[in-house]
Amino acid sequence: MNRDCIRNFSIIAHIDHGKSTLADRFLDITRTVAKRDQKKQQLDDMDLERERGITIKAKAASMDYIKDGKKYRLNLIDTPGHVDFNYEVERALAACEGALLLVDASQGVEAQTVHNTMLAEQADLMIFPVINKIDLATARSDEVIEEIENALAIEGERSMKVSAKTGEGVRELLDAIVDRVPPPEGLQDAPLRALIYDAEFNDYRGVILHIRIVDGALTAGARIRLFEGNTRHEALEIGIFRPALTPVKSLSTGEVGYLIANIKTLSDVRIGDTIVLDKDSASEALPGYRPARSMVFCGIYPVQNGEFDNLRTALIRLQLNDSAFTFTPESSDALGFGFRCGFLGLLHMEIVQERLERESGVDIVQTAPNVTYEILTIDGEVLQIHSPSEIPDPTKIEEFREPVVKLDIVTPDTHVGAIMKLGIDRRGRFLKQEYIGPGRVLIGFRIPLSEIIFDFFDKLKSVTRGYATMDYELENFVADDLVKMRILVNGEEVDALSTIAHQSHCEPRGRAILKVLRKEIRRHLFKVALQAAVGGKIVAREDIAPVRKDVTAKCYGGDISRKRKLLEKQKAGKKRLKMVGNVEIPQKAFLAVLSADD
Amino acid sequence: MHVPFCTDRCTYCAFATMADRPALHRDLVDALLLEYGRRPALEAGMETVYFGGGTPGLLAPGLLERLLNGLQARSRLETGAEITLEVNPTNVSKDALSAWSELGITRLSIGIQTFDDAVLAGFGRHHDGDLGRAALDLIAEHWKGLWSADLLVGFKDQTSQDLTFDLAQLLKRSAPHISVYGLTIEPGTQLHEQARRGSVVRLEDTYMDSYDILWSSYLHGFGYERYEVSNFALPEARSRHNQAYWRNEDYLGIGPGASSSRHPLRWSNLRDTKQYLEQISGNRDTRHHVERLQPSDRLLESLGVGLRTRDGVDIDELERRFGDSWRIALAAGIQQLKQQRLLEEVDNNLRIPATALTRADSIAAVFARTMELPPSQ
Ligand SMILES: Nc1nc2c(ncn2[C@@H]2O[C@H](COP(=O)(O)OP(=O)(O)O)[C@@H](O)[C@H]2O)c(=O)[nH]1
Ligand SMILES: C[S@@+](CC[C@H](N)C(=O)[O-])C[C@H]1O[C@@H](n2cnc3c(N)ncnc32)[C@H](O)[C@@H]1O
Ligand code: SF4
Repeated sequence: MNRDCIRNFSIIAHIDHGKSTLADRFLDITRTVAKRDQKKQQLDDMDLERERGITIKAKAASMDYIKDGKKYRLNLIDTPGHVDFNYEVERALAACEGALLLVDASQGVEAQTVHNTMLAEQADLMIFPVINKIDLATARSDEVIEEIENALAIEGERSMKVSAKTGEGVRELLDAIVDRVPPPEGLQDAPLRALIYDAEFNDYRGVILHIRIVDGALTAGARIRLFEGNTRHEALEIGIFRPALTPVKSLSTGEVGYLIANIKTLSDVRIGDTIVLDKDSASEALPGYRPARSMVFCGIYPVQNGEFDNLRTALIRLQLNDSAFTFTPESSDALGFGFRCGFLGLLHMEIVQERLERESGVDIVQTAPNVTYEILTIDGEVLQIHSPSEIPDPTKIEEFREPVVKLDIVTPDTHVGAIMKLGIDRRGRFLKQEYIGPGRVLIGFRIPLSEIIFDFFDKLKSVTRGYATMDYELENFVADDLVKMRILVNGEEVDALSTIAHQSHCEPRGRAILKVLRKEIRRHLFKVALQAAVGGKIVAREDIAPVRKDVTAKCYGGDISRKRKLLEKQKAGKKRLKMVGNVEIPQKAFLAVLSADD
Repeated sequence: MHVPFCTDRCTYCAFATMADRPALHRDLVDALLLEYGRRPALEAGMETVYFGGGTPGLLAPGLLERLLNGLQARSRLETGAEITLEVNPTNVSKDALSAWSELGITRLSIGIQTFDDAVLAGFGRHHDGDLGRAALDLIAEHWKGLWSADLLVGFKDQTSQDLTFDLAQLLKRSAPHISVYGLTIEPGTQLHEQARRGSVVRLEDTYMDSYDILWSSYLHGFGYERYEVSNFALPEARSRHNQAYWRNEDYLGIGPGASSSRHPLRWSNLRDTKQYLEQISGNRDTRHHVERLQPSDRLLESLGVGLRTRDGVDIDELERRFGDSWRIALAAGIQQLKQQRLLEEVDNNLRIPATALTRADSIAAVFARTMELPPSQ
């Protein structure tokens, strides 16, 4: 296809601002999908995405559109909507020349919009604002345009106004895409360089790579090489998204499509890698590639020890679909054998966990998540710490560093006070506060990642009655007063409950954890002492008083079976208990401490 | 022998009872004897007979006599057998006492619950404190056999004075045996419904803990032995019938809701009196639940009920029932509990030290959780 007729673009939008609906309209108008085949919202097809209303995996659609008698190929490249997938967003944007900044006419600019717009700017894309849902009575298009100018420093006057629902303005929008988004550049006669901007796993076809041809052309049957991965393959099938996979003979410079090359698992490819022809040994990689880096870790254990193998099988299976998810075996005194799993972020962790339970049926216990820390030892070595158990003896530690992020929150200005308090309670450093529109404020913090991976978003929602949105970006690792806090039960350490915390937060955090444990651990026949300790110092303590007396009820013939059944329940309940010394800790307790609130 | 009639149902009570229908008394008595006739004859003679309920004290002496005669037509009463009749204060009169005595009843069990008029009324009992006292006076004066009184403790707002007052009434009349039951909220009762709707119906556990010390030491001071967590007896006044349950021996229960144990079988009857009567008249089975106990089940039960008694569980008996395997099965629990001084072996009994007896259920639970091997046959 002639380069001049190609337009590659993506839609940047906050959740629910109408990205999927707009994509549906595009497909309708360009008749890419026959009406009767059309499922609602073609682009969001994973269950989980639908449930959570987010796009986890970038998808694509190639549409033909005729303007002024000339046929254009519009390639819509969908981007994931969450910061956990930041790198994936960047790579998807790198495959485009333009981006539609889609903003809900009644909701206005949200944190995610700000964040993704910055990524699009960094990628040098032609960005233009599209105000959606103008059919709504509550639409305040002009105000929203002003917000866009203020918050994003993007010229508002060329904004398009559409209703993805009624279709109003959508044709004009397609015209504008043709007019305003520049055609792809790239060297037609140079050796092939194609960007892998996404990959998915299909049960029948194996790995499907989503690619953008940057230079040269790719023909079916070509022998190719993945540059960073340094693996060789044959291009078994290439094609375009209609949005169903539709094979073509070749893809030329500037085109977007898919490649199937007999790659077995997603962990064999890395988004951002460059595809070259095997014979072109002198080719250079495209810029921007970064190896995967998990930022959040937690232990995942089977509830029943016998389920270890099933859990492992399930994890392997998950990894087929998700190259960003990592796992290595580990063992815990309290929980037995399990895995330390790494995730891009908290949402990613939740998604994996849900899939794991939904698809494998293995009951799992998850330990408190922690971020990756860095420790500089007195020998000058830098250790990556993924689990509290990896922390060396305190005397060997020169610096204990944690990841710090730049956090943007967009909120109605009535909630600024509450957000300030929340940010500062979580060790955030206030950076800025800007009015982006009437009554709407953008607040910036620099804040440790560990403080927001947990329940920060829930808290933010609750203090702003659901009105605030947030987004963050990793900045760097910063040394701080970090320590390992151990939890002791009758003097014995329960490794699965250990956490890393800031010195100043240990006491309240320790107290909160112990309070939860106190509720979850039943009374024993002896006193159970719960302690939180930092080094040798006890920072919090709770006792569970022993059972003093059972109910002295009547016990006659009819009660004997009943008594036995009560006792049997105890026996059965034992499977869901972990013994620490003589103390029984229910599996539930390990989960409950995750939501301990200090 | 379960007699399911009560003048009215008390708000806390979940026993298989129905509002009294005197017209049904005769049918019930016949039905009880028919059911009894269908059960395998007892090999040995009867050591104890218990007319419980419900309120068997409502039955006319003639019907009780019919029952006793019917029982003895199929198996012999051992000499010195204990025959207990459960009665309410409203059933007691001088005539009734002498009639019961003539029938050969050896022991009365009277449900007093409390002497507090307001509490009795709240529970829907048909007597007040004075009637309770009057009934006890009659018994104390005219009854030659043994007797026992039930007290309920732990109802809402009960003070320690209330409790000692109730106890004192019994002590004054030298009750040979006193059962002290902590109020429990049983599903299906009015009390349960009140609690579900948010009313406070019970005393908090922390009070119960200290009240237990109060009533047990009080009774101890007057010469009573706490021979089971809820039962106190003067010397020679223990309930032999109940002890058979607690030793997990075999027993035959007849009547609506009654359960029976003939190892390895355990069964219980339909609880609904009308259904029960229909089954009997249609010559159909009255049992609605039959189970076959595994040795490990029985071992767990033997501990569950036996450890609640002062004597504990007889080791010879364990050996007889389970061979050596019981020791293997219980080894971990025994070791742990002995270490914690919550278990001892005395006079060839496995028992809980007196100070820990009130924790018997929790202690039995340790065995439930540590029991590993099912004992072999
Ligand atoms: N009134 C109105 N509702 C719209 C419009 N576009 C989308 N919606 C609704 O907004 C909600 C979110 O749209 P969706 O396309 O799923 O948003 P996404 O999360 O950005 O993909 C859905 O209920 C849509 O029906 C529009 O133009 N007008
Ligand atoms: C089956 S009743 C029969 C006694 C007799 N009908 C009477 O009420 O006097 C035996 C005893 O069980 C006790 N009881 C019944 N329900 C109880 C409950 N919910 N909690 C504690 N004890 C209870 C009462 O003390 C009662 O006297
Ligand atoms: S406590 Fe006694 S009188 Fe009251 S309902 Fe129960 S059995 Fe009948």
